[in-house]
Amino acid sequence: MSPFRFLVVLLSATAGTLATSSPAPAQYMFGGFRGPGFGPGMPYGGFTTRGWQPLPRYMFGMLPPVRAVSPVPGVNFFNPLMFSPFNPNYNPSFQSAVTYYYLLRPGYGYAPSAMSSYGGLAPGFSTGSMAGYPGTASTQYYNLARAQREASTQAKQEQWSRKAVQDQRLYEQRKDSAPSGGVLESQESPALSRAVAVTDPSKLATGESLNVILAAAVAAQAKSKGAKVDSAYLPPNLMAEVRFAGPNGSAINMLRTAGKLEFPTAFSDGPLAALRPTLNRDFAAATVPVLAGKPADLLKVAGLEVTIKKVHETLNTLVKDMDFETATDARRFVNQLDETVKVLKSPTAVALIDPNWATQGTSVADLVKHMAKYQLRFGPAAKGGEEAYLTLHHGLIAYLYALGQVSQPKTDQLPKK
Amino acid sequence: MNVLSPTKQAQMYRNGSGPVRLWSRTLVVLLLLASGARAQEPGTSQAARGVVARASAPAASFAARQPGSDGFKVLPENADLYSGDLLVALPGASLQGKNGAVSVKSLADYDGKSPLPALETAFTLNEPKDVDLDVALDRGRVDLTNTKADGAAVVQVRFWDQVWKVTLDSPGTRVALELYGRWPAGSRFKPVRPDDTDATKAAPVASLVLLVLKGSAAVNVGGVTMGMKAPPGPALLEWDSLGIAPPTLQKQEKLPPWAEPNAELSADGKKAAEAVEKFRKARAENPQAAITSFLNSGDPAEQRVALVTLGALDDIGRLGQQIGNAKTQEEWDFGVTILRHWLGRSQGHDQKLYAALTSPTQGYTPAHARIIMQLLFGFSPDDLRQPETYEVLIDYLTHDKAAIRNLAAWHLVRLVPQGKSIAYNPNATKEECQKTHREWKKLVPSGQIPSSPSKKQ
Repeated sequence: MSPFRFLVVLLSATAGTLATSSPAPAQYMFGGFRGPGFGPGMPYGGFTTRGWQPLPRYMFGMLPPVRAVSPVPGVNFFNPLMFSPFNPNYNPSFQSAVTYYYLLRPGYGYAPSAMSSYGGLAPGFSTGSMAGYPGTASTQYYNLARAQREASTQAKQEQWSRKAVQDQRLYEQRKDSAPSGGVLESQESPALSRAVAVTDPSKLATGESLNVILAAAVAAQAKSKGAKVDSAYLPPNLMAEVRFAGPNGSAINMLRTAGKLEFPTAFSDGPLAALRPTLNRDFAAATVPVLAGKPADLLKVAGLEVTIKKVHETLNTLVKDMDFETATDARRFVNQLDETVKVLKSPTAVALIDPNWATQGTSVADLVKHMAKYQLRFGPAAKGGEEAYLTLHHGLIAYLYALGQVSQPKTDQLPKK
Repeated sequence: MNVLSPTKQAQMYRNGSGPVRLWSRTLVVLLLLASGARAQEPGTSQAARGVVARASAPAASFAARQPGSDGFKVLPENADLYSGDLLVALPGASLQGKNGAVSVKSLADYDGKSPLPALETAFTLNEPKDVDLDVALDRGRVDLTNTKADGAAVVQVRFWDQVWKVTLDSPGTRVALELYGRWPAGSRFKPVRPDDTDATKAAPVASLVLLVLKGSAAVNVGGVTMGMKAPPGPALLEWDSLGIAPPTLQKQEKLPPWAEPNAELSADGKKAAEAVEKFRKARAENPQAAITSFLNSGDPAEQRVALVTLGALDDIGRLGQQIGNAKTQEEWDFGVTILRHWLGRSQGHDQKLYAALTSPTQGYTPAHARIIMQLLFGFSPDDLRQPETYEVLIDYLTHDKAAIRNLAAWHLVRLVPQGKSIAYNPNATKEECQKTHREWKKLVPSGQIPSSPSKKQ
C-alpha cells in the first residue's frame, strides 16, 4: 500500500469513527462504571466496556412495576417521550407502558417491595426478562427506596396534615373538643375485613389488627361450643415476642422479663442506676415461682415492694430534671412495677402465665382461650417483634377461618325440603 | 415602633424579683436573644429597594422593618411602601399597588370564626415583574382586590417555598388568603447545634387557605392553573407545608362565616375591633407609650391587642416579661398562645428559643429547656393515651422553675377540663403549688387516664 493510499484509508477510518455517535450506556448492559475490585486490572473501580451487549428493544417497558407509595419524580412518573419515535426507548408495541428505570436490587436481588415476607416474590412480581440485571441503576434504586421510606414517614404524619394548625388553635382556645384522638374521643375499632387485610408489619406491630381478629376468634370459639379445631403452633421464641395489654397486661409483660428487666433511660446513670441490681434481684426472686407455675413467695414480694418504694422516692426527686419523654418512660416503668406487685399478691397470679409458653410453646387456639379467660389483648410489639406479629396474624386468621368452617352447618345436616 | 433597646431591657430585668419574676427574666432577656439575628425575610427577592405600593390607611396601620434591620418603624398615613420591607399590618390596613391594579387589605378574625388562628398579618412586597403585584405572605389574612377599571389583574403570591400566580379575572374580583403555622401537637423538640449542617431540621406545619370572595379567579400552582369562582362554586383551595396531597379545589355553596364581609360582630368582637382602633390612634401619637398603656390596661381586649403586637413585632423579650408578670390567668393563657404562635411562625424559632434558654446568662439546664420546649409544643394523641403524661404534668406543678409549672398548668386545664375548678395562680407560693398538686393528684391519680368530662362541664 502506497503511503498516500494508507493516509487516505487512515483519514477515512478516523472520520468514520468520529462521525459515529457514542453508545448511550443506558442502552447497554454488563458494562459501565464499576466499584472497586470489580475485576482484574480494576482494583479501584472504573469504567469498562467489557461484556457490553445492547439491550434488546423488547426489554424496554417490561421492568417490574414499582410498588409506589407516592410518585417518585424521574422514576415512575408518566413519561411523554415514550410516545415519541425519536425516543431511543420507543417501541410501538408498548405504547401503554411507562418507561421505567432499572429498579431491581443491585447484586441480582429484588427491591424489598417486591419480596414477600415468606421468601419468594410478592404477587405481581415475576422473574421476567429483567430479573438478575446487575446494578447499572443502583442509584435509582436507592433513590426509590429512600423516596418510599420518606413517603411512608409522611403518611404517618397524615394525622398532622391540614388540620394540624386548626387543632392547635382549638386547643389554645380551650374549646371543649380535645385534640383528635385524645382521651375525650371514643376509639373506633377497624372492621374485621380491614384487620385481616393488613400486611404492613409496622401496622401489625401496633397490635390493633390482631385484637380485632382476636375478638372475632373469641366470639367464634364460643359459637363453636368447644369443637376441636386445628390451629398453628406458636413456638417459645415467638411467644417471647408477644406483648399483652388490657387488665394485668403490662404486669404479665413485666413478669416475663424476670431477671432481665428492660430499664428505661432514666435508669442508665445516677441514683436510679444504683438501684438496678437490687431491683433486678428482688424482682427475679419474687417472680420466678410464678413463671414456673407456682404461687409467689409473699415474703419475697414484700421485699420487692420495699425496693420499689425506694425507686419511687428516688424518681420523685429526679423527675423534674428529666426530659419529658425520659420522665414519662420512667413513670411508666415504675407504674408497671406497682401493677406487677399487685398481680403477684393476687391469687390469680399463678394462672396468668402459662409456664409452657417459655418451654414448649402453645397453639393459637390455646392462646386465644387464655387471652379470653383473662381479658387480655395484644399490646404493641417490642422492637424486633414485628415478624412474630406477622406470623401471629396469619395464625389467627387461619384459626378464625377454621372456626368459621366448624360453626357452619354441614351440607348433609341441612334440613331437607 | 422600635424594639426595646438592650439597655432598656436590662433595666427592666434588674427591677425583677421573686420566682415568677425569674420566669419573666428568662423570657425578657433570653427571648430577646432568640429574636436576634435576622435573615432575609422569606419570599423576598434581592432586588434593589424601591417603592412598590402606597398605604391607603390611616397612620400607624402599618409597621415596617427594612431587610437586615432589627427594629420596626410605624408608618404614617398614605406612606410609601418599599420592596423587601416586612410589613406588619393592623386589621383594616390597606394598600394600593404601584400601578393601581390591585389593592391589599389586612383583616382580623375578631370573633374567632376562622379555621386558622388569625392573630396578625405580615407580608413583604417585591418589585413586580410581569405581574401587577408581587406579595410574599408571611402570616395572617389579606384580601386581594382587582381595582383596575377594566381587565384582569395578576398577583404573584409567595409563601414558604411556594410561588402562586393569582389572576383576578375582572374589576372587583376579591380573593382572601390566610396563612398560619404551628408545631403539630406531639412534635418532639431536638436541639440542633448551629454548626451541625447535616442535622435534619424540623419545621412547623403551615396551612394556607385561598378563598374567592367575589367574582372569578385563576390560580396557577406549580404550572397547573385552576379556575375558581366565588360561592356557589369552586371557591376554596387549601395548602399545607407537609405536601402530602397537592392543593385541591373545593366547592363552596356559600361563603363560610369567617369570610362573610357583612357578618355582624359579636359583642366581644366589637370590643376587640374598638380596642384595635383605639390602639392604632394611640400608636400614631407615641408607639412605645401605646404599647405600655395597653399592656397595663385593665381591659382584657386592650391587653390582647398589645400582646399580639409584641409577638408580631418579634419583641418577645418584652412578651416574656409580660407573661411572667401576668396579673390574670387570662393574660397568662393568651401570652402562652402568642409564644406558641411565634414558635410556629417559621423554621428555626424553636432552636433560637432553646439557645436563649440554655445560654449562660439565664442558666436553664438543657433538660429544663427541653421540658419548656416540649411543653410549648404540646402532646400527641398517643401521648394523651398514656397516664404517665398526666402524671408528669402534675409532677411539674411543683417545679422550681415557674415557667415549667405554669406551662404544665396551661396544658392540664385544657386536657382535663374538670380541673378548671382547681385554683391556679401563676404567681403561687411553694405551699400553694403543693396544694394545687395534691388536688390534681386527687383528680387524676397515678397510673390513670382522666375520665371524660360530663357534657355539662
